Amino acid sequence: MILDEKYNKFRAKVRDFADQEVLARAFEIDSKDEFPWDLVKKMSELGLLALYVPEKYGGAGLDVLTYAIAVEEVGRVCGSTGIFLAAHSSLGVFPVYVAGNEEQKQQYLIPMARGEKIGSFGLTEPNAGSDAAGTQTTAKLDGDHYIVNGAKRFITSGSIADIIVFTATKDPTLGYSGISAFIIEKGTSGFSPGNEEDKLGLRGSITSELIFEDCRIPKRNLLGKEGEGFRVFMETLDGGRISIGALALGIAQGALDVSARFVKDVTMTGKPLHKNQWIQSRIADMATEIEAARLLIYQAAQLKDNEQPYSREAAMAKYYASRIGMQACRTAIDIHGMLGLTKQYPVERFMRDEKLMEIGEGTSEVQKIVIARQVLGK
Amino acid sequence: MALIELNSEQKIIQNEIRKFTQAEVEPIAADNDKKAEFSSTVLKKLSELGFLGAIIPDAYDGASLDTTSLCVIIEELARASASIAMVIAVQNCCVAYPLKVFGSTDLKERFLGKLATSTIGGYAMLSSLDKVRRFETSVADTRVNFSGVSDFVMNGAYAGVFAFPVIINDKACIGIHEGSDGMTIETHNLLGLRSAGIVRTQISQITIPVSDLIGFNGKEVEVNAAVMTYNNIGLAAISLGIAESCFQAALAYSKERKQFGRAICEFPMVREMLVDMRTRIDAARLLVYDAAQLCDNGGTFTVPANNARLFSDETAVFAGTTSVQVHGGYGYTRDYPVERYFRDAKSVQVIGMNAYEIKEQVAKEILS
Repeated sequence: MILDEKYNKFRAKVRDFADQEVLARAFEIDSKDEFPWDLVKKMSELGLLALYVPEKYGGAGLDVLTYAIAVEEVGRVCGSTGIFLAAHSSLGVFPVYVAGNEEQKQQYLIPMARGEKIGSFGLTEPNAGSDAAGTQTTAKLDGDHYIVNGAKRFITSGSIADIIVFTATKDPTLGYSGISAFIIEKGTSGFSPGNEEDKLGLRGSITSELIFEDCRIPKRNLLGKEGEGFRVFMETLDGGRISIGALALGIAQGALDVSARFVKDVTMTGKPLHKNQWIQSRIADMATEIEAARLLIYQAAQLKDNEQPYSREAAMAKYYASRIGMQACRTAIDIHGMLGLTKQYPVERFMRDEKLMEIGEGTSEVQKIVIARQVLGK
Repeated sequence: MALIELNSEQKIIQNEIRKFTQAEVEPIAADNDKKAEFSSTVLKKLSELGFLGAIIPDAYDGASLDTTSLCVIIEELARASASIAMVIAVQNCCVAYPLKVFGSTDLKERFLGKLATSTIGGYAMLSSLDKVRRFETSVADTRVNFSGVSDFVMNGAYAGVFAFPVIINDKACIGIHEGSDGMTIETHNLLGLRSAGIVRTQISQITIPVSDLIGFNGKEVEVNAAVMTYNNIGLAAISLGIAESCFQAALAYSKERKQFGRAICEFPMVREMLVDMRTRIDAARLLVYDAAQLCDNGGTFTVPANNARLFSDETAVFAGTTSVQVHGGYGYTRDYPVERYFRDAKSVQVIGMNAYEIKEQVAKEILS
């Protein structure tokens, strides 16, 4: 895909930031389970946290393709920082941008877009994963307030977020039609973030529960109309898939870059590794698949930017990028041999981080259902 | 399961090791992985049961078991902990095996008894990547000097006897050394096999008599290649055990986890994942035990051992990532053991020979 020069310039800027600032922190962020507050601040200064949001709402006024490139470039060196960026922009900022009224945009979107407040999205529940309509968390109207009860799980940035969009139902037996979306602020009485997960990868990213116990939130915090929560989260997830695809792509590109450097530096029984055909075959597969994934992701982003339907393309992009990304990360470890198991090289971290891309924001199986439905018609 | 027929002795061993694994290893495996250590009590119990010296002849107080039985032991241990299975595999395949098959009577008498009853054997794992450091050696008169760094000494954290594969005068041989005096050990922080005691070892100077080299003046055989091939059966058995646990965990979880009002095992995509795991694991089991039996029958087993390793390792990695996938978000956390199985599976795959070398060996054989 031949991109306009402005995208190349933007990529160079983010790559520079990633190589200069993020790379030096990536190992520590993973091995010490450190949330990268410093990098969040820097990304906010660089205006990376709401790239596609108009300037009047605190964003950079750019587009989704630019955003995908940013996630890709940050993910290329650090998955934990990349998932924060993706979750904040796609899951925190986006639903308020797309479904919020003017007052909500002023109050919540602007500070999130500027990076003054951290955003998060609470959809998944202990018993409602792929089956998001199985939401058990309830929100019952009581005068000017909703009273919320229930629990969310696996919420990226959940316990550190200042502003959280979440879904709840007025009656669990109603399925999709009972679900509404709400905005809640950290510190609201009856709301607590719960436990944090101890994860395979993305260890610098925080994944937590959200617990609601007779939590009263004002009626004006309803996002969109009552019963429209399903539409809000479907749209949010469609967009989120582009960013998770971009992150999968970035991690895969990181695995390829590190592997390419390794095979140029290292010899195998005296012979340069990069001259070995077995190695070349692997590098060629990784590079080809990564390029194909990139095309799918940029296509989905451009469709979204052009306000054309992109749900099928976003699902394809996320499914394909995470699949070939996992393969690329496994191959990178194969190339590094036993050294690939150590912390001297980032490839084992890449593989641990990449695995989430096949699970988060709709598993690969859910993506396949979305794709098949659209290919086959309803 | 009728895929392979174990004889009555092998079945007794399977039963015994399975009970032991469930009672002693399973409860501690996750914690030991986290702390990157292994319970010395379990190691002691394994030696009491005779599994430390599984293939060591009874003349040296070993259990005198065949390779099939060794694979049974390794597979069963690996179902709970790939790390402890690795310790037993290295002990038998990399240390006891060359001593038993190629060692002098003197070496056997000095070392096999210890290895069978009390002492863990370490092995400085070779890699064809020149970046992986190995000990430097020099021969002076009747003595061999070892110095420098070996990046991956298997069992190194627990070992009292060490096997150092080296090339001296263009001849591959294995030096045997007792005790860890003069060695500095540095622990790794590895993706998987975190409790297997794999360490970086530095030696300022260790000297052993030339007579303590296996394969130096003895048989015209590539001792190191023989060890690598035999070890490939052991590693394949570890992968098999991991893969089986991945499948069992996914099976149980898929029956219990409900989405869209039914257990997820009702959904064709999940069923296919279960079936694909099952098929590949069954095929891997046939390859692993076929290689072991060919070895027990005294035939050549290079191709079967290498193929078993390639297939079983790949199966374990597939089963690992698939089992995490079946578990969804839960599988990505340490609340379930499958993320550990996945890390271990990928780690086993790159120990020692890489896939390129293994395939090259097979290619040479099938083209000759």
